[in-house]
Amino acid sequence: MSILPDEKEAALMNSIIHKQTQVAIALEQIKDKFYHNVNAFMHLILLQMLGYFFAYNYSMSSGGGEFFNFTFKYMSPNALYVMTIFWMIIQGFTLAHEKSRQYYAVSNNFTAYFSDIALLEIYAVIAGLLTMFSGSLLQVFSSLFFDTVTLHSSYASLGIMNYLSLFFTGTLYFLIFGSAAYLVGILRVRFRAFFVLGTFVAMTLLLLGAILGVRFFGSAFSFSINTLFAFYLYETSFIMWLIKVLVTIAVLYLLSYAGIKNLEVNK
Amino acid sequence: MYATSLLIFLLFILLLSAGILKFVGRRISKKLSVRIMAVYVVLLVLSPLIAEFTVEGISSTEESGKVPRFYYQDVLENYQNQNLETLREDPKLHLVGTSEIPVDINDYSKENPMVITSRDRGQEYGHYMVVEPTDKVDSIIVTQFTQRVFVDHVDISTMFVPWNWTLSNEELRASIQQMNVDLYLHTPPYLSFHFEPGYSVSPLDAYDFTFPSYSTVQWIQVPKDLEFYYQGPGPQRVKQ
Repeated sequence: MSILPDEKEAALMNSIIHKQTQVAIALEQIKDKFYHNVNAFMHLILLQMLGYFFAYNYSMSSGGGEFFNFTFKYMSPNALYVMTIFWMIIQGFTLAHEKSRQYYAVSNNFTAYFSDIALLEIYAVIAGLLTMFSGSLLQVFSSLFFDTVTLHSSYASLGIMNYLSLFFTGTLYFLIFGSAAYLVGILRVRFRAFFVLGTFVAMTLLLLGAILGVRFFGSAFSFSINTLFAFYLYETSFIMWLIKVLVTIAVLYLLSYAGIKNLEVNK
Repeated sequence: MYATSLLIFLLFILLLSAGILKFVGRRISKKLSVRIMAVYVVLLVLSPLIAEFTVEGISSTEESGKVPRFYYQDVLENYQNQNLETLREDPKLHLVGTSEIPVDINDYSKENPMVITSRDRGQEYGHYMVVEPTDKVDSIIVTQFTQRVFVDHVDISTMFVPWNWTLSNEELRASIQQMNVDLYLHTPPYLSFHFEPGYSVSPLDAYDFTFPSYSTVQWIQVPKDLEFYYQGPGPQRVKQ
């Protein structure tokens, strides 16, 4: 149910707020939500600190002989990406969850939705920028704690395009996870008890599908989470990758809009 | 089993993240959040500059395959055809250093020769040693080499701790230090190479693992008229 009047009604009203367009109100909401959720960044920092800890335990190899023993420890900022994905998921849930709270004075489903996805996009860009620099900060941290820190030779081939790729891919992956979490959150707010039931049904169907798939198609049928990741991660053509990612985000946006469209606000 | 433990781990992290969120939401003010964020952003932006001065560069981009495995063994086994000058210029070997030990050859005779021992702390190291009696030297000159070995493109041959050769009680012996080297290697995130086909930063590259090649050649030059004998069960490599 919309609180905002349509344009004809608005023309008859005298209140200043009713003269505002929906987009203008949505923009105000973005600012407001950004300020209201500013603690999210503190949360991101703490999660990234946890990511730095995991980055030190990435992997290890060692070898020895009569008079020597070498231990190679590998550090990679990959762990920071995982932690930032968690952050995006939590932000997606948080933004969706706020739909059930009486918080915004002037709001309708469109402005709430528009400001939510815009905020998710802002979060994704910020997260993409921060994680792009995290590799260097990881190096600084490790040079403080350890004596012998060296860079893998692949650093030698890192150019500006690699950093752009790091930022761009990171940002869009964060956005996928954020908007997927937002969709799940919206479905939860919308369907409440049915959501839990729906989750169980979906899981059961997936499990049944997997069992039946293997039963009828044998080993030719294989679907794992790796296949899903590989679909995006191992795509080396930029254009193909961009199409895949943008289509995914568009579908997630559309589904969450479909979920929020007739949702009762401020219930 | 792997998938289950991964799932439990991810669930744990998610719960931990949610716990941190509760803590942040309740205990930390917005003002403090913004300030900490500002400090973090400044630190991040400055970090490439700081890293430039604090982190060692890329030690080598040479292919480890260029040096054959166990090359040092070829050097030791063909010791009769080798000479120190060519070994010094051999790019496949890393010259660790040279030490000079003064000796008076008149102190030693056939009845009372100098003992060159290849033992230290109960270990036998004779198979790394070559003795060359030569009239080019008046004292004992020990030249130490390691084979160039690259592990993940890091040249570990330079990290060799030189054997400490001493002459005491008419016995030439080395004290050999057990080396324990911990190396920390930074690998860039996978996403930097997202659109480069065939790229891999996998640390488990079998071709890069050449730890067994990590070894030494101890070339000992002694004055030609010095009377000596090897002690120990190792091979008696005396260059004619």
